[in-house]
Amino acid sequence: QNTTTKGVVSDAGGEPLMGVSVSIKGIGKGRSTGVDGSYTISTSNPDAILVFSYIGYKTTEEPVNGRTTINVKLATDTKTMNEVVVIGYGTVKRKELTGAISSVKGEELSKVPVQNVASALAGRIAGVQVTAADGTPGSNPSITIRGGGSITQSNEPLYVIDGIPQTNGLGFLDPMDVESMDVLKDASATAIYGARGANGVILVTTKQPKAGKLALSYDMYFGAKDITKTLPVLNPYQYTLLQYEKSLGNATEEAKFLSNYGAFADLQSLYGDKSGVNWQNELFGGTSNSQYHKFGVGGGSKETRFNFFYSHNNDEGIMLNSGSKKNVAKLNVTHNAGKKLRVTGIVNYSDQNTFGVGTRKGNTRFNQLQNVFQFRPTFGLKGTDADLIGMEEDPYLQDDSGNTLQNPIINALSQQRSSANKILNLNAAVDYELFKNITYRGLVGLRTSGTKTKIFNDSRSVNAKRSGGPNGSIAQSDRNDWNYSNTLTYSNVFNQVHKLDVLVGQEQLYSKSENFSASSNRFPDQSLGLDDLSQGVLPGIPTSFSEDEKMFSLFSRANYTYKGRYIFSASLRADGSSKFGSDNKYGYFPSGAFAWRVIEEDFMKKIPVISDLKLRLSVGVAGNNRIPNYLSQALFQSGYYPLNNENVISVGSRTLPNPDLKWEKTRTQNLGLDIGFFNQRIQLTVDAYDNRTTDLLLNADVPNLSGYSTMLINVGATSNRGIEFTLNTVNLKDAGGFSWNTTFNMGFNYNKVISLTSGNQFMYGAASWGGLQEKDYIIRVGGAVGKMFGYKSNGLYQVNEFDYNPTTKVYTLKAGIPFDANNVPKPGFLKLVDQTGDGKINSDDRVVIGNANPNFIGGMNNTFSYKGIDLSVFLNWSYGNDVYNANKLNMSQTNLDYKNAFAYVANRWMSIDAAGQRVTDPVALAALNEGKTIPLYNGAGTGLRLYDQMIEDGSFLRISNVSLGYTLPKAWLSKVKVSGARIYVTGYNLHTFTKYSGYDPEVSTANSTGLTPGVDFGAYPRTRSFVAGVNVSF
Amino acid sequence: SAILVMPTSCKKWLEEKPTSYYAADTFFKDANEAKMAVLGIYESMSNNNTYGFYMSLVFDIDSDIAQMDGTGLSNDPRVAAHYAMTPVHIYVAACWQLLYKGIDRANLVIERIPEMDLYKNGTDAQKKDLARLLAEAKFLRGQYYFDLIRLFGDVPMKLKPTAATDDLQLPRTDRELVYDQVFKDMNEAIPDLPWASQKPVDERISKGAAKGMLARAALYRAGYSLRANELMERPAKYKDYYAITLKETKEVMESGEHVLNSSYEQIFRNHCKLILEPKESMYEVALYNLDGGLANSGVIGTWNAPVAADKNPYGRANSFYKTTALFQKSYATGDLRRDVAVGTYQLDVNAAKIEFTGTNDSKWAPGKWRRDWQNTGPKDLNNTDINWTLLRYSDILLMRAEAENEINEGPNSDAYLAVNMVRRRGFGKPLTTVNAAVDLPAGLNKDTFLAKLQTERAYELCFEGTRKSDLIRWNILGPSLRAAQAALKVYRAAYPYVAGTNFVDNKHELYPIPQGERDLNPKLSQNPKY
Repeated sequence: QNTTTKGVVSDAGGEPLMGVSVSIKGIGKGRSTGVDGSYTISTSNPDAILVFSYIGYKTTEEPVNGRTTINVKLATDTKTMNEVVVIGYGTVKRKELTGAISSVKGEELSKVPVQNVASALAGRIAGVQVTAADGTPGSNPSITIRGGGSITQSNEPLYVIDGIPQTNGLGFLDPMDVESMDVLKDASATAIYGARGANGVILVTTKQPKAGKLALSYDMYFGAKDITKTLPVLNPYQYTLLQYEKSLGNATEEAKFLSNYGAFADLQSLYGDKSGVNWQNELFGGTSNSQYHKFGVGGGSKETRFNFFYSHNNDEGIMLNSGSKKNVAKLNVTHNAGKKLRVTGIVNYSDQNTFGVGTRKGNTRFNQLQNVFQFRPTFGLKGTDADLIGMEEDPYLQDDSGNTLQNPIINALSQQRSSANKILNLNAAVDYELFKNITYRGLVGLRTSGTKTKIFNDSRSVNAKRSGGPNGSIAQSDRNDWNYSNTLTYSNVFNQVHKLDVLVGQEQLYSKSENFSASSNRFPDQSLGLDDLSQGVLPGIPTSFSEDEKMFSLFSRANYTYKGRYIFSASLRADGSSKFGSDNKYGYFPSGAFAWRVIEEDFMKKIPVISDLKLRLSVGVAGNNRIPNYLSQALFQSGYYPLNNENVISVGSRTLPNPDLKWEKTRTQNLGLDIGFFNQRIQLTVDAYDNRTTDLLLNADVPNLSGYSTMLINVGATSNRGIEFTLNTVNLKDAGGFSWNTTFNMGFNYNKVISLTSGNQFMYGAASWGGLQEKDYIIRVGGAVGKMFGYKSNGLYQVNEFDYNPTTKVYTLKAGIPFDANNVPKPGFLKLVDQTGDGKINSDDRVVIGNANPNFIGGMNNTFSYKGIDLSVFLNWSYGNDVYNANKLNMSQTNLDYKNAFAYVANRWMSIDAAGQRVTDPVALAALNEGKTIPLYNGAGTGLRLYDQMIEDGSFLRISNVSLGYTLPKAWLSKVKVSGARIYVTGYNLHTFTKYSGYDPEVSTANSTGLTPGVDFGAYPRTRSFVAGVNVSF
Repeated sequence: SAILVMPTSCKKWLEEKPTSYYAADTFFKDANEAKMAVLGIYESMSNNNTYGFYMSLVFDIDSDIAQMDGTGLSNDPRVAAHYAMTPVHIYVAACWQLLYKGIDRANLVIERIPEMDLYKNGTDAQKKDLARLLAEAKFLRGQYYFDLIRLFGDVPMKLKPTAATDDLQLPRTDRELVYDQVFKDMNEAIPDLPWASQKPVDERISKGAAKGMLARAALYRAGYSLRANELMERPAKYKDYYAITLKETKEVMESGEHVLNSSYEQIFRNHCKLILEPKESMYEVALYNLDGGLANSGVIGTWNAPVAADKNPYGRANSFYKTTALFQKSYATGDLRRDVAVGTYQLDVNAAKIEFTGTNDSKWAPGKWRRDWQNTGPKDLNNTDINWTLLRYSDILLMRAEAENEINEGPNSDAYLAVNMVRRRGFGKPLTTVNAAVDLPAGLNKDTFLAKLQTERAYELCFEGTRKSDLIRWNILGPSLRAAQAALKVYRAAYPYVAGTNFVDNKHELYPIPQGERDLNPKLSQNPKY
């Protein structure tokens, strides 16, 4: 006798919930609720218990007890074992997971007022490192999962947004539209994505439409930002003293100094009390605003429902004339045609316009931030410091027109830099129940995106002044992608104990890019600028370029569960990619996993304190094909050689081709433990992993005598081993209306290079920020990637290390003291350590002097609630990583003309006495400089070399986000026809505890190759922001 | 899971078909494609990192007649010029990289042209075309190796186009072996190159120019260079190389293809106006950029020209390459070359000439490529389209004179005639008419004739990129710098000049091997004392 039970599942507010899984306990034979929340299920067992589970809600059990109608209200819950986790091409209940997957709710992420949702992910998930190069508005932070196995290729994970794989980050999403993010960390979860899975996969589910009457919502915040600190530079007195010291002995320079700044004897009185111009304050010192508005509407009938929103985010940059504006509009429509067919369509449009000259453009001489640091702090005798601020051109620099410095304010105002990025995504999905246990899903994604980059240098810009007039360019790059997949899922339960799910699928993608640019120079009139390129007297050469890439894939997966206790899963994917050599087009990526739900065993019943216990074991292989196109092919690229003043096209080899290029593969092994105590009030997840990446796609530097500087090769192996902890605790549960939850995560990752190019024990990396010719990173077999390589220093050369000849006034280094031929030692010069002991300082004396890898990273979120008030406090940290302060290294060239220096230089070894006279006498010189550790103004050499004083501890603890909200009581709201309202204030990046002397220790501006993390050169200062916001629904 | 089998049809779909590049395997179909590849070899020269700036200008100073403006070490050119170069200096890395890039491209062309069907089976005209292109590739490979030897001494020698599987950690090859290859390449090239009169007027190498460049390579090989043993030495059979110089210069002179322009000034006015004149300016590096940008351009005529104020009608010249007052004053009365070679003035914003007087004589600069001889309204304030001239006919004459003097242990009549023609033109006199007032005195012995030639080369070829190299091959760079400094300090104690102090003997005759390259190739040793 079968009992048929019907009912409606709704949320606590009575809104029907669609898609709730309804199953019979112990059997798992399930149904989903329809649009109106209704379900029908039949069972032969009168004692059967129905289990209702739905993502984001507490799982509820109801004994049937012969009832034919059971209506259920589900309470929301963010942390339960039964929550549904999105995996590749499907979903699975958390308790049935075999792989290492961490999830975060959109609700948490939306508390962080940022334009890119990736920024909000920082510190939220164990083993996931989010690195923004710096604080540039509108920038895309990069995400690294478990250290990243590739050495020089992208370690960026694959992003799958509502089932559609993409490689271009999360920038096009509205952070408020994210329902949940699931991060797949081990290969048992990622192998299903094959060649693109090795770096992990981040699955994003956006907010889905819910049935019900038409509901409107409005979300907004508004806030203000300022920079967290400025870096001290020499004040006017210290600056003039340095210039004086440099000029001494050179008649031309002495005369220049005298007329610009006055006599030495007057420096103290002229400049001693002046604070001078703080250019950082002029550029970054104000406050700027950010605001966000989102209008949503949604609802629909049982068959057809939709949601739509439009949002606008305006993030003003803290630097003059910079910022980022972003608009997102999205329509999501779902239609059920009968019980077997469901069609979903999503249209997501976004545009983002970032503008501003930024701080990172340009190498050492032209870098914008160096310009800000180095522009002089005082006008001297010829005007007031206020004049200098307003002055388009420093008259002092007109004499020395080779100088590249320029008033930083004019710099920011005179150079138009903007990048407008438009992305349109059209996704459609069809779900059709072919047979009782077989479901077909077809997914099509079309994406068209375009970026327009505009550059205009008006007549005040340093570029126009150096080249002869205003100039500009417009570059347009368009990309069209299509992608489709077909999957069949078979799902059944046999004899009530064997549960089997099988997936087979096929996927194909195509992507084509086209780029075009035009430029024009020397605009006689610049008022129309880029809007009429024809005005330039000297048109530039237009450029164009196009390329495409293709993939074809087949995949399958099987999950088998016995009695809900023993879970086996296996998957295999075959990928074909156009990027590889003709013999290596295909890659095969298998995985297998096993999980044991110990908690289901009988003996566990005796330990009531433990409410969940699961062991997971997995192994699998995933690949990485994130390399540029055409690298396996021998290609010629055009150039020209101008014969008799005409461009005549030439060709030359483009890259050193590698016909054997093949897949980079990462094999991961993961051992995981999920344990819960006290009815899940304490939940701990521990994962240990060992990832080994082989056939590395290594963009190796090769000796230039080859005619090339780099070549992409498959060679060597790296390993990342680590352990991750995630602890969720309910510290107080509704104690007098007060609740307190804590989420804590921490990840330890150890990166090791196992082998390199055949026989090589090491290779070098070059951060290439512009100042160094020696390689500044080293990768050794047995060591980690990210080791900074340079010289150890040992203070300064002291007077007593020289023989002094009073007649010639020449100091000669005593025998036995290491001699530096490339910076011939004098008293007060930087003294590097002679590691080889050969008496000479040269490149052989370099050693590892820093490590960019943290010992551990982590985050902790505390949420408190009392009645309608909620408070969350989020901290994140990193420990043990070094930062390579290239700003400081570049600025250490205090011998250079004009330029200002960091404040610590004031305490340098002096060559002049209190009377402004050059000191040559050994006794006086030694006495004057006792205990000094900063070299003489010209004592660090003319060719920059990396040494240990430029490496700093980058450990930090950041108060990242504090958010206080109040949900207004419904009773008040109903009177004004408002169904829900929350107001909140948030402080973002409130304080960072660190010893690092630069703007921010979380920085990496020169890591395009992946070999050189942790460099701080020209990084845009990060801001602290406060916002206040409202969420209202009607 | 089921075993997944890829359909074979998708293999074709996965083939890459680049659209913005040429496939190398199917390239070299005809002479036009071969020409594109050959021009790709030339391209290495046409760059600020090579002859647009570093190699032509910075690497020629400081010398006894010219120096970098500003005595401090406060920027890269000053560090390079004032003998403070270090292995991490960007200029050495930059030109090393481009020269080897050119060599690799040449290696490819030298391998591929003989494999072309048309090379063997084409019409006579096609074969001749391809033979010429192959000859150009060989010549350029020789030229680039010669440049490398001149700057770095012993260098790695690679004669095959690089393949992914090659061992790229090559040690340095003894320069005598590299020179052998240079001579071989140039000698193989010369027969297939057209004389200047047989080719269109453009910057591609002619037979006469190639012979002249071979003569120069031989002259340098015959001279001194700094060896790994930290000594300046010349090869034992150096006279064999003077003989090559003699033979090649003689043949150029006898060809009738090249003559001296009767006006010394007109040579440089032609340079400034971008007019090619292969009879005198036999071989030039093509520098030109359509929109005034940096690529394929150079700073000839701004960096090494008299100061010209910003916004003046001829365009700004930031003048960093300076001559010395004493060099200007040492020209003989009546030598018309003085006022061409040296600009003692600056152009103000209205392009009026303002003389540098008094102690400002240290700002006198090369005048050969002065702004006021260039076309008005420059495209760019720094980059000009002025070619860098590698070889002039007067250099052929002076090389001939020097070789005759060495081989015959003293000057013969050919030696006298060659140098006197140069002098007569310099003084504006008829070339072939004996002129006692201008001609070198008769009766000079080998050493005194050489000494006269050494100064004559300065007067004739100053600032044209060979002075410092000449002093090195004569093994007098250090003494010349110290003598110049001493004389200048006597002239005026405050005269800015530091090369004499900074120069270290048996070190600065060579540039350091770039440290970045040594990092990648541990088999590369460093030059002495760096």
